[in-house]
Amino acid sequence: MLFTSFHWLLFLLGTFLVYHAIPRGVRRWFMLASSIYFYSTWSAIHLLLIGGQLLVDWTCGHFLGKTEAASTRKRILAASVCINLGVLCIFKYYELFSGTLRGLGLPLPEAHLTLPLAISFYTFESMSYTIDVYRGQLKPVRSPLHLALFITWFPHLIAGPIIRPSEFVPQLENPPHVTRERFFSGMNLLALGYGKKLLGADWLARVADPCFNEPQNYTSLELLLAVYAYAFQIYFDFSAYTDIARGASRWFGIELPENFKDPYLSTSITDFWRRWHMTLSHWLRDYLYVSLGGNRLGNARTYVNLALTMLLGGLWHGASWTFLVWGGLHGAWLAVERALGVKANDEPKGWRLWGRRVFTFHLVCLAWILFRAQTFEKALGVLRGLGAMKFHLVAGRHLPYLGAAFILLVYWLIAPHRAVVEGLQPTTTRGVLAYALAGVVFLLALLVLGASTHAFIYFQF
Amino acid sequence: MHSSTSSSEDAGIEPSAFRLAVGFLAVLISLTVLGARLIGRAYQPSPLSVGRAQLDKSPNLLVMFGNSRSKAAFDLALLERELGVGAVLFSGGGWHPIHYYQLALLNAPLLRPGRDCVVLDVSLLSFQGGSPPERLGVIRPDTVLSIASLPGLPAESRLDMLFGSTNNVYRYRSQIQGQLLEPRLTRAAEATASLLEKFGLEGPAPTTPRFRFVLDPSRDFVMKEIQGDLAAFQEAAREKLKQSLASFEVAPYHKVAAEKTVEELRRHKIDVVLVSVPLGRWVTDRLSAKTTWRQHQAWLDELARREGVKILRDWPEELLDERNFYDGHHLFGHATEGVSREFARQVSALLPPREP
Repeated sequence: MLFTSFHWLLFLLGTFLVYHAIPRGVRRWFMLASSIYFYSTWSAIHLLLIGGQLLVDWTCGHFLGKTEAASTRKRILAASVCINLGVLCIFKYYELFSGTLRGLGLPLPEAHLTLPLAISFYTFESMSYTIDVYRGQLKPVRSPLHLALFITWFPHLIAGPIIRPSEFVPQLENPPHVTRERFFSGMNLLALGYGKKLLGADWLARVADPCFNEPQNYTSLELLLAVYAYAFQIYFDFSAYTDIARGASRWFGIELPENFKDPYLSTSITDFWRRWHMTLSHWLRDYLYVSLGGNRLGNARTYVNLALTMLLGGLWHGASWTFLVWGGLHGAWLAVERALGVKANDEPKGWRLWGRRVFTFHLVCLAWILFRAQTFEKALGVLRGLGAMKFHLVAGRHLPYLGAAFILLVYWLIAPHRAVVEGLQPTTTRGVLAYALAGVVFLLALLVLGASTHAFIYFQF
Repeated sequence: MHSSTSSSEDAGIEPSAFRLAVGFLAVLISLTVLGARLIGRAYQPSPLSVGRAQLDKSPNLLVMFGNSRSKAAFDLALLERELGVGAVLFSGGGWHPIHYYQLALLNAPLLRPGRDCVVLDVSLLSFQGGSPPERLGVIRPDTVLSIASLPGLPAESRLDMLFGSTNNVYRYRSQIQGQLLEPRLTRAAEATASLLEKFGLEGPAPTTPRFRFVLDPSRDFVMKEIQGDLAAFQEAAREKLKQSLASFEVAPYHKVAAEKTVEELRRHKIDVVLVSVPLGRWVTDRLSAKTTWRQHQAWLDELARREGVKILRDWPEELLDERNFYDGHHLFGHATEGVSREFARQVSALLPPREP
């Protein structure tokens, strides 16, 4: 069920009502059952796969806790990583690699496997549990229920944020009841999410989609605006999902981490990856980059590790060579910035600050062209169109671009006050009524103006 | 539902706001629905049932339930002249048997047994499944319970219809956006053209469109001709059709809806004729090679036998010529006359006796 469907809304409300009405002792089981139901509405058969991976990692964690012998612990870890990555590779990447090799003449069979929903997300989370236990950063989780909930917690199951067991599992021990503050801040997050998705991302898609589908029909200015529109479409779309996931979780007393921090105000690509999809970049840093040696093995090796981490990070997003090149671009830029001594916490001032922000934004947009275009041919078509230097609009096609400009203007006005919006909490009866009235107006705006049939972009990963 | 489940550990901590939350959500949802109902009253949807004036004007009515293919195929004025009856077509782009069932529920009590006849589109293409049924936002409140309870419908479709039935704002949001908001916003946006031209920011498109649609001026949404590279258009249309036909499957809920449509009309003793609107030869050849085609024809035969209705599905070969169709399954305006005359010829004998 999509987050923008009635099925989901009914499911969330029903789960919220029942959760707080039943005895505490059964609430975790209820949430597990709810999460299983949630995933089964997408694909019941793939529940077996999640269950299998969970069982593997719980067992590995259990035995890691029982043995001190380094070689045995290494073998257990290797088993967990191989099984998890093996499943991911088979379901997600077999067709990409086998198709490419078949194109080169190798007679490999086609598999026609259905991609399990959210496999990229839950595989990474499941592996992080075993790795953290191996590293001694986490004690093995005693209760399989807690581990199962960590993976399947329904608000975040489909598209993150990617959480760590050390962040999540302790919260299950004694989740708080819903207080006034949690309820209203959760509501505010839900509102931010739905606003960004239905009034932002889905309308920006109407600017970006035609231009990326048939770039030869659009002028350079239209293509440029479409690239900008896509940059904000994917940001609104993905951050909306995170907001909805966090808001819903807060209603059940669980805090999920933030995933974005004004990414388009980054002053470098290094800074960008500390603001964009933060839970993924932290995962890649802690489990891939550090495991490869990080920056401990000299400059040359550091650059290689950066590039490799981002290459694989790109491939994580999808089984397509364009994602690989997208990741590779970011990896190359990170390496160049490392060589130039650029730091994420650099604080340039004045025109240098905005100059770096604009430059970084355009670097990111350049890479987004590959991310969105899905084929190299379409990406080249967009780049060719941009290079044609036809900087004008066309009569009869103004509305989408002006609409996009309006959406971005509204966002620019609201964004600096996000913390205020998130923390809004009526404390008096009059305040509650005013809040309710504002909520009604907002919902009516969603009903009239939100015509979404777009699934969240990151659902495909 | 209250916080008696709180453990002693919560003593001294901020109290549960569960009751407040439930009350707030109830008020929020109720006020939103009420607001949407009030605002939605300003929107007047198109009628989906015959009116008093139509019934008074014609002693016999031919009422057709169809979609865009029916709209392109049948010239109502010609049918009225040929058959000596009043002709009404309720159709919508992408409509399917679920819509026809709604039309039956709304019209059956109003039509006159022995005088009026309903013609129902039963082309196989109208029964396509594989994805959730579309355009269910037009399901009206007085029919929503019957339609939402059709077996096999996805849960989200049911919920979407049920919520839509509570207010016009949600139910007609596509029409509100497309017919009210978008034209106004487009005019406002295009008014910036002179300003953009002044700054050199207005110019021609980099490519001329390969083809241009010219609509029939007398009939909404019916194609008069396609100017430009017709072959390119038809190739693109066929490519899309090929993909669609490759995975074609019939949705069981469409069959149930069609059966219920006929049953409802027959319950009110209204004559029914089932018609397979003609498709181009290219599409017909590919569809008829499928097992679903044969199963569909057998199902139609059984439905017709059970309910005592007739089927019209045989068309002269010249009417199925590809040149009559712009995309393989929608007729050009110039081909409508031939199809309408043939339809009138075939259906004439099946209509109830016409009053002078």
